[in-house]
Amino acid sequence: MAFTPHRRTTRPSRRLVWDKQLTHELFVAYRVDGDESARDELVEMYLNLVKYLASRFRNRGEPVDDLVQVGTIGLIKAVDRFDIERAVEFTTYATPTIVGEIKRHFRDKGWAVKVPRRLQELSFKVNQAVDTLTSRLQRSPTVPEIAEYLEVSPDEVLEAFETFDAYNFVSLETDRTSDGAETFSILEYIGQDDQLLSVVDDRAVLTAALKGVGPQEQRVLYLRFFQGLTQTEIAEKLGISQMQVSRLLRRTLRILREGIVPEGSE
Amino acid sequence: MADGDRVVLIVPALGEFARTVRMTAAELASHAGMDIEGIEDVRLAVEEAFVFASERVADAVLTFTFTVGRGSIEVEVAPLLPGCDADEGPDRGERYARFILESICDEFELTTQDAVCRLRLVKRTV
Repeated sequence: MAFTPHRRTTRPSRRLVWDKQLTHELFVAYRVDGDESARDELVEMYLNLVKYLASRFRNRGEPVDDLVQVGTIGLIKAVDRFDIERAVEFTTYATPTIVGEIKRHFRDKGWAVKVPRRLQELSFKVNQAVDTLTSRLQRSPTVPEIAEYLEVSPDEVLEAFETFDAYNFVSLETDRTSDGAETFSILEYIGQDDQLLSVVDDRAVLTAALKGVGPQEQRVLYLRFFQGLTQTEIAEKLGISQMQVSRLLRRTLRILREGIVPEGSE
Repeated sequence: MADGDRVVLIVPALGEFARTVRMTAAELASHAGMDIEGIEDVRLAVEEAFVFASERVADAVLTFTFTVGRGSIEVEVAPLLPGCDADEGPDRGERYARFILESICDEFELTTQDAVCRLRLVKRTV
Protein backbone atom coordinates (compact mmCIF):
# COMPACT_ATOMS: atom_id res chain seq x y z
CA MET A 1 0.00 0.00 0.00
CA ALA A 2 1.51 3.24 -1.02
CA PHE A 3 -0.47 5.53 1.23
CA THR A 4 1.32 7.09 4.10
CA PRO A 5 -0.86 7.75 7.13
CA HIS A 6 -0.08 11.42 7.26
CA ARG A 7 -0.83 12.33 3.73
CA ARG A 8 -4.58 12.19 4.10
CA THR A 9 -4.44 14.47 7.08
CA THR A 10 -2.32 17.05 5.26
CA ARG A 11 -4.49 19.26 3.15
CA PRO A 12 -3.46 22.15 0.97
CA SER A 13 -4.37 25.54 2.29
CA ARG A 14 -6.75 27.78 0.39
CA ARG A 15 -3.85 29.97 -0.60
CA LEU A 16 -1.94 29.19 -3.76
CA VAL A 17 0.61 27.11 -1.93
CA TRP A 18 0.93 23.38 -2.23
CA ASP A 19 2.70 20.80 -0.18
CA LYS A 20 5.60 19.60 -2.36
CA GLN A 21 6.26 16.55 -0.26
CA LEU A 22 2.62 15.50 -0.31
CA THR A 23 2.49 16.13 -4.06
CA HIS A 24 5.49 13.89 -4.57
CA GLU A 25 4.03 11.16 -2.37
CA LEU A 26 0.77 11.25 -4.26
CA PHE A 27 2.54 11.04 -7.60
CA VAL A 28 4.56 8.08 -6.40
CA ALA A 29 1.39 6.41 -5.15
CA TYR A 30 -0.33 7.03 -8.47
CA ARG A 31 2.51 6.26 -10.84
CA VAL A 32 4.48 3.59 -9.05
CA ASP A 33 1.68 1.83 -7.17
CA GLY A 34 -1.15 2.55 -9.59
CA ASP A 35 -3.27 4.11 -6.88
CA GLU A 36 -6.12 5.84 -8.73
CA SER A 37 -7.37 7.55 -5.58
CA ALA A 38 -4.02 9.35 -5.37
CA ARG A 39 -4.69 10.69 -8.86
CA ASP A 40 -8.11 11.97 -7.74
CA GLU A 41 -6.55 13.54 -4.71
CA LEU A 42 -3.95 15.31 -6.84
CA VAL A 43 -6.65 16.71 -9.09
CA GLU A 44 -8.65 17.87 -6.09
CA MET A 45 -5.55 19.31 -4.47
CA TYR A 46 -4.67 21.46 -7.49
CA LEU A 47 -8.19 22.61 -8.32
CA ASN A 48 -7.33 25.93 -6.70
CA LEU A 49 -4.68 26.44 -9.35
CA VAL A 50 -7.31 25.89 -12.04
CA LYS A 51 -9.70 28.31 -10.32
CA TYR A 52 -6.98 30.90 -10.01
CA LEU A 53 -5.98 30.60 -13.66
CA ALA A 54 -9.61 30.57 -14.83
CA SER A 55 -10.32 33.72 -12.83
CA ARG A 56 -7.76 35.56 -14.90
CA PHE A 57 -10.03 35.10 -17.91
CA ARG A 58 -13.14 36.43 -16.17
CA ASN A 59 -15.22 39.13 -17.87
CA ARG A 60 -14.34 37.81 -21.28
CA GLY A 61 -17.73 36.49 -22.18
CA GLU A 62 -17.50 33.05 -20.64
CA PRO A 63 -18.76 31.95 -17.21
CA VAL A 64 -15.80 31.26 -14.93
CA ASP A 65 -17.37 27.94 -13.94
CA ASP A 66 -17.12 26.80 -17.57
CA LEU A 67 -13.50 27.89 -17.68
CA VAL A 68 -12.80 25.97 -14.48
CA GLN A 69 -14.37 22.93 -16.12
CA VAL A 70 -12.16 23.09 -19.22
CA GLY A 71 -9.16 24.06 -17.10
CA THR A 72 -9.72 20.94 -15.02
CA ILE A 73 -9.33 18.86 -18.18
CA GLY A 74 -5.92 20.49 -18.58
CA LEU A 75 -5.11 19.70 -14.97
CA ILE A 76 -6.02 16.03 -15.43
CA LYS A 77 -3.84 15.87 -18.55
CA ALA A 78 -0.99 17.43 -16.58
CA VAL A 79 -1.39 14.94 -13.73
CA ASP A 80 -1.37 12.05 -16.20
CA ARG A 81 1.66 13.32 -18.12
CA PHE A 82 3.83 14.75 -15.37
CA ASP A 83 7.18 13.04 -15.09
CA ILE A 84 8.11 12.80 -11.42
CA GLU A 85 11.76 12.33 -12.36
CA ARG A 86 11.93 15.79 -13.87
CA ALA A 87 13.34 18.55 -11.73
CA VAL A 88 10.33 20.73 -12.37
CA GLU A 89 7.62 21.62 -9.92
CA PHE A 90 4.18 20.33 -10.80
CA THR A 91 2.66 23.85 -10.78
CA THR A 92 5.28 24.99 -13.31
CA TYR A 93 4.46 22.02 -15.48
CA ALA A 94 0.66 22.16 -15.11
CA THR A 95 0.08 25.88 -15.60
CA PRO A 96 0.72 26.05 -19.37
CA THR A 97 -1.40 22.94 -19.90
CA ILE A 98 -4.33 24.39 -17.95
CA VAL A 99 -4.07 27.80 -19.60
CA GLY A 100 -3.74 26.08 -22.97
CA GLU A 101 -7.05 24.29 -22.44
CA ILE A 102 -8.76 27.52 -21.43
CA LYS A 103 -7.40 29.35 -24.46
CA ARG A 104 -8.36 26.48 -26.69
CA HIS A 105 -11.88 26.83 -25.32
CA PHE A 106 -11.96 30.49 -26.34
CA ARG A 107 -10.51 29.62 -29.70
CA ASP A 108 -12.98 26.84 -30.33
CA LYS A 109 -15.80 29.18 -29.43
CA GLY A 110 -14.32 31.61 -31.91
CA TRP A 111 -14.49 34.44 -29.45
CA ALA A 112 -12.02 37.20 -29.20
CA VAL A 113 -10.61 38.09 -25.83
CA LYS A 114 -11.81 41.55 -24.88
CA VAL A 115 -9.48 44.39 -25.65
CA PRO A 116 -9.95 48.03 -24.71
CA ARG A 117 -11.59 49.92 -27.55
CA ARG A 118 -8.68 52.38 -27.73
CA LEU A 119 -6.27 49.53 -28.43
CA GLN A 120 -8.62 47.88 -30.90
CA GLU A 121 -8.83 51.10 -32.89
CA LEU A 122 -5.11 51.73 -32.68
CA SER A 123 -4.42 48.17 -33.74
CA PHE A 124 -6.62 48.65 -36.79
CA LYS A 125 -4.88 51.93 -37.63
CA VAL A 126 -1.43 50.37 -37.26
CA ASN A 127 -2.44 47.59 -39.60
CA GLN A 128 -3.57 50.11 -42.19
CA ALA A 129 -0.47 52.25 -41.64
CA VAL A 130 1.80 49.29 -42.29
CA ASP A 131 0.10 48.67 -45.62
CA THR A 132 0.19 52.34 -46.60
CA LEU A 133 3.82 52.83 -45.61
CA THR A 134 4.96 49.57 -47.18
CA SER A 135 3.46 50.72 -50.44
CA ARG A 136 4.83 54.25 -50.09
CA LEU A 137 8.36 53.30 -48.98
CA GLN A 138 8.56 50.12 -51.06
CA ARG A 139 9.87 48.31 -47.99
CA SER A 140 8.68 47.25 -44.58
CA PRO A 141 8.40 50.33 -42.30
CA THR A 142 10.03 50.73 -38.91
CA VAL A 143 8.19 51.32 -35.65
CA PRO A 144 9.24 55.01 -35.45
CA GLU A 145 7.97 55.54 -39.00
CA ILE A 146 4.59 54.06 -38.12
CA ALA A 147 4.48 56.07 -34.90
CA GLU A 148 5.25 59.29 -36.73
CA TYR A 149 2.67 58.56 -39.41
CA LEU A 150 -0.05 57.91 -36.81
CA GLU A 151 1.20 60.58 -34.39
CA VAL A 152 1.43 58.10 -31.54
CA SER A 153 4.39 56.86 -29.50
CA PRO A 154 6.53 53.88 -30.59
CA ASP A 155 5.42 52.11 -27.40
CA GLU A 156 1.81 52.38 -28.47
CA VAL A 157 2.67 50.89 -31.85
CA LEU A 158 4.39 47.94 -30.19
CA GLU A 159 1.43 47.48 -27.87
CA ALA A 160 -0.87 47.48 -30.88
CA PHE A 161 1.18 44.67 -32.43
CA GLU A 162 0.45 42.50 -29.42
CA THR A 163 -3.22 43.38 -29.53
CA PHE A 164 -3.53 42.74 -33.22
CA ASP A 165 -1.76 39.47 -32.89
CA ALA A 166 -3.88 38.09 -30.11
CA TYR A 167 -7.41 38.77 -31.18
CA ASN A 168 -10.12 38.27 -33.74
CA PHE A 169 -8.94 34.93 -35.05
CA VAL A 170 -12.26 34.23 -36.64
CA SER A 171 -12.21 37.08 -39.11
CA LEU A 172 -9.06 35.65 -40.63
CA GLU A 173 -10.91 32.54 -41.64
CA THR A 174 -12.77 34.60 -44.21
CA ASP A 175 -9.68 36.29 -45.59
CA ARG A 176 -9.19 33.70 -48.26
CA THR A 177 -8.73 35.85 -51.25
CA SER A 178 -6.11 33.90 -53.12
CA ASP A 179 -6.81 31.24 -55.66
CA GLY A 180 -6.63 27.77 -54.29
CA ALA A 181 -6.43 28.84 -50.68
CA GLU A 182 -9.65 27.03 -49.87
CA THR A 183 -8.22 23.69 -50.83
CA PHE A 184 -4.52 24.08 -50.15
CA SER A 185 -2.93 21.27 -48.16
CA ILE A 186 0.70 21.46 -47.14
CA LEU A 187 0.86 17.66 -47.00
CA GLU A 188 0.74 17.55 -50.76
CA TYR A 189 3.98 19.49 -50.87
CA ILE A 190 5.91 17.57 -48.27
CA GLY A 191 8.33 15.02 -49.66
CA GLN A 192 9.88 11.96 -48.13
CA ASP A 193 12.99 13.78 -46.95
CA ASP A 194 11.36 16.99 -45.95
CA GLN A 195 12.59 18.79 -42.88
CA LEU A 196 9.14 19.21 -41.38
CA LEU A 197 8.47 15.51 -41.80
CA SER A 198 11.79 14.70 -40.17
CA VAL A 199 10.67 16.72 -37.18
CA VAL A 200 7.85 14.34 -36.44
CA ASP A 201 9.17 11.03 -37.85
CA ASP A 202 5.75 10.06 -38.89
CA ARG A 203 3.44 11.45 -41.51
CA ALA A 204 0.41 10.43 -39.45
CA VAL A 205 1.56 12.65 -36.59
CA LEU A 206 1.99 15.55 -38.97
CA THR A 207 -1.41 14.92 -40.53
CA ALA A 208 -3.03 14.95 -37.10
CA ALA A 209 -1.14 18.08 -36.08
CA LEU A 210 -2.31 19.87 -39.20
CA LYS A 211 -5.91 18.94 -38.56
CA GLY A 212 -6.65 22.22 -36.83
CA VAL A 213 -4.82 24.26 -39.44
CA GLY A 214 -6.94 25.73 -42.21
CA PRO A 215 -5.88 25.89 -45.87
CA GLN A 216 -4.99 29.58 -45.65
CA GLU A 217 -2.73 28.96 -42.66
CA GLN A 218 -1.13 25.95 -44.35
CA ARG A 219 -0.42 28.05 -47.39
CA VAL A 220 1.22 30.76 -45.29
CA LEU A 221 3.26 28.12 -43.47
CA TYR A 222 4.37 26.62 -46.76
CA LEU A 223 5.34 29.95 -48.29
CA ARG A 224 7.26 31.08 -45.19
CA PHE A 225 9.08 27.91 -44.17
CA PHE A 226 9.33 25.94 -47.40
CA GLN A 227 9.55 28.66 -50.04
CA GLY A 228 11.44 31.04 -47.74
CA LEU A 229 9.27 34.02 -48.67
CA THR A 230 9.22 37.07 -46.40
CA GLN A 231 6.01 38.12 -44.69
CA THR A 232 5.64 41.05 -47.08
CA GLU A 233 6.05 38.78 -50.10
CA ILE A 234 3.47 36.38 -48.71
CA ALA A 235 1.10 39.25 -48.05
CA GLU A 236 1.42 40.41 -51.65
CA LYS A 237 0.94 36.91 -52.98
CA LEU A 238 -2.17 36.22 -50.93
CA GLY A 239 -3.65 39.69 -51.08
CA ILE A 240 -3.73 40.14 -47.32
CA SER A 241 -1.82 42.49 -45.05
CA GLN A 242 1.62 41.76 -43.67
CA MET A 243 0.20 41.98 -40.16
CA GLN A 244 -2.33 39.31 -41.02
CA VAL A 245 0.44 37.09 -42.33
CA SER A 246 2.29 37.57 -39.07
CA ARG A 247 -0.78 36.70 -37.04
CA LEU A 248 -1.59 33.67 -39.19
CA LEU A 249 1.97 32.42 -38.79
CA ARG A 250 1.97 32.72 -35.03
CA ARG A 251 -1.41 31.10 -34.73
CA THR A 252 -0.42 28.26 -37.04
CA LEU A 253 2.83 27.64 -35.21
CA ARG A 254 0.97 27.43 -31.92
CA ILE A 255 -1.49 24.89 -33.29
CA LEU A 256 1.33 22.92 -34.88
CA ARG A 257 3.41 22.99 -31.71
CA GLU A 258 0.47 21.72 -29.66
CA GLY A 259 -0.09 18.92 -32.17
CA ILE A 260 3.52 17.92 -32.70
CA VAL A 261 4.83 18.47 -29.19
CA PRO A 262 1.93 17.88 -26.78
CA GLU A 263 2.71 18.93 -23.25
CA GLY A 264 4.45 16.26 -21.28
CA SER A 265 5.46 14.25 -24.30
CA GLU A 266 9.17 14.71 -23.75
CA MET B 1 21.43 52.71 -27.38
CA ALA B 2 25.02 51.81 -28.18
CA ASP B 3 26.11 48.88 -30.31
CA GLY B 4 26.42 45.76 -28.16
CA ASP B 5 24.30 46.98 -25.27
CA ARG B 6 22.97 44.21 -23.09
CA VAL B 7 19.58 43.92 -21.45
CA VAL B 8 18.85 41.11 -19.01
CA LEU B 9 15.34 39.99 -18.22
CA ILE B 10 14.58 37.38 -15.57
CA VAL B 11 11.08 35.92 -15.68
CA PRO B 12 9.28 32.95 -14.11
CA ALA B 13 9.14 30.05 -16.55
CA LEU B 14 5.38 30.40 -16.91
CA GLY B 15 3.50 30.94 -20.15
CA GLU B 16 1.91 34.12 -18.88
CA PHE B 17 5.31 35.80 -19.03
CA ALA B 18 5.83 35.02 -22.70
CA ARG B 19 4.17 38.34 -23.51
CA THR B 20 6.63 40.21 -21.31
CA VAL B 21 9.54 38.63 -23.12
CA ARG B 22 7.94 39.14 -26.52
CA MET B 23 7.28 42.82 -25.91
CA THR B 24 10.77 43.39 -24.57
CA ALA B 25 12.24 41.65 -27.58
CA ALA B 26 10.07 43.72 -29.94
CA GLU B 27 11.10 46.94 -28.22
CA LEU B 28 14.79 46.04 -28.43
CA ALA B 29 14.52 44.88 -32.03
CA SER B 30 13.03 48.28 -32.81
CA HIS B 31 15.94 49.92 -31.02
CA ALA B 32 18.26 47.83 -33.17
CA GLY B 33 16.70 49.54 -36.17
CA MET B 34 14.76 46.57 -37.49
CA ASP B 35 11.71 47.12 -39.62
CA ILE B 36 8.42 45.58 -38.55
CA GLU B 37 9.04 42.43 -40.54
CA GLY B 38 12.25 41.83 -38.63
CA ILE B 39 10.51 42.66 -35.38
CA GLU B 40 7.75 40.18 -36.13
CA ASP B 41 10.35 37.48 -36.78
CA VAL B 42 12.04 38.31 -33.49
CA ARG B 43 8.72 38.05 -31.66
CA LEU B 44 8.01 34.69 -33.29
CA ALA B 45 11.48 33.39 -32.49
CA VAL B 46 11.42 34.56 -28.89
CA GLU B 47 8.06 32.95 -28.31
CA GLU B 48 9.30 29.64 -29.68
CA ALA B 49 12.44 29.95 -27.60
CA PHE B 50 10.37 30.72 -24.51
CA VAL B 51 8.17 27.66 -24.97
CA PHE B 52 11.16 25.44 -25.67
CA ALA B 53 13.11 26.77 -22.69
CA SER B 54 10.23 26.72 -20.22
CA GLU B 55 9.80 23.00 -20.88
CA ARG B 56 13.46 22.41 -20.14
CA VAL B 57 14.20 25.00 -17.52
CA ALA B 58 16.67 23.94 -14.84
CA ASP B 59 15.23 26.44 -12.40
CA ALA B 60 11.88 28.13 -11.79
CA VAL B 61 13.04 31.19 -13.69
CA LEU B 62 14.51 31.90 -17.09
CA THR B 63 17.10 34.55 -17.82
CA PHE B 64 16.89 36.22 -21.21
CA THR B 65 19.99 38.17 -22.15
CA PHE B 66 19.49 40.44 -25.13
CA THR B 67 22.48 41.95 -26.89
CA VAL B 68 21.43 44.72 -29.19
CA GLY B 69 23.56 45.69 -32.16
CA ARG B 70 23.03 47.87 -35.18
CA GLY B 71 20.51 45.92 -37.18
CA SER B 72 20.84 42.79 -35.08
CA ILE B 73 19.72 41.25 -31.84
CA GLU B 74 21.16 38.27 -30.01
CA VAL B 75 19.10 36.44 -27.42
CA GLU B 76 20.51 33.95 -24.95
CA VAL B 77 18.18 31.90 -22.73
CA ALA B 78 19.38 29.98 -19.66
CA PRO B 79 19.56 27.92 -17.54
CA LEU B 80 18.24 24.87 -19.35
CA LEU B 81 18.46 21.32 -18.15
CA PRO B 82 21.86 19.70 -18.73
CA GLY B 83 22.06 17.70 -21.92
CA CYS B 84 19.61 19.83 -23.85
CA ASP B 85 22.27 20.20 -26.54
CA ALA B 86 22.91 16.48 -26.87
CA ASP B 87 23.49 15.46 -30.47
CA GLU B 88 22.11 12.01 -30.10
CA GLY B 89 18.43 11.48 -30.47
CA PRO B 90 17.09 14.99 -30.02
CA ASP B 91 13.48 14.81 -28.96
CA ARG B 92 10.60 15.94 -31.09
CA GLY B 93 10.33 19.21 -29.17
CA GLU B 94 13.91 20.05 -30.00
CA ARG B 95 13.53 19.08 -33.63
CA TYR B 96 10.44 21.26 -33.87
CA ALA B 97 12.20 24.20 -32.20
CA ARG B 98 15.16 23.76 -34.54
CA PHE B 99 12.91 23.67 -37.57
CA ILE B 100 11.18 26.91 -36.62
CA LEU B 101 14.13 28.80 -35.15
CA GLU B 102 16.57 27.87 -37.90
CA SER B 103 14.01 29.04 -40.43
CA ILE B 104 13.38 32.37 -38.73
CA CYS B 105 16.77 33.23 -37.26
CA ASP B 106 20.18 33.78 -38.76
CA GLU B 107 21.79 31.72 -36.02
CA PHE B 108 20.41 29.21 -33.56
CA GLU B 109 22.31 26.91 -31.25
CA LEU B 110 22.13 25.00 -28.01
CA THR B 111 25.35 24.96 -26.06
CA THR B 112 26.66 23.90 -22.67
CA GLN B 113 29.07 26.10 -20.80
CA ASP B 114 30.06 25.67 -17.15
CA ALA B 115 27.52 22.84 -16.88
CA VAL B 116 24.70 25.17 -17.87
CA CYS B 117 22.80 24.59 -21.08
CA ARG B 118 21.80 27.67 -23.05
CA LEU B 119 19.80 28.51 -26.10
CA ARG B 120 21.21 31.24 -28.30
CA LEU B 121 19.70 32.86 -31.32
CA VAL B 122 20.60 35.79 -33.53
CA LYS B 123 18.41 37.75 -35.87
CA ARG B 124 19.82 40.30 -38.27
CA THR B 125 18.20 42.86 -40.52
CA VAL B 126 17.84 41.44 -44.00
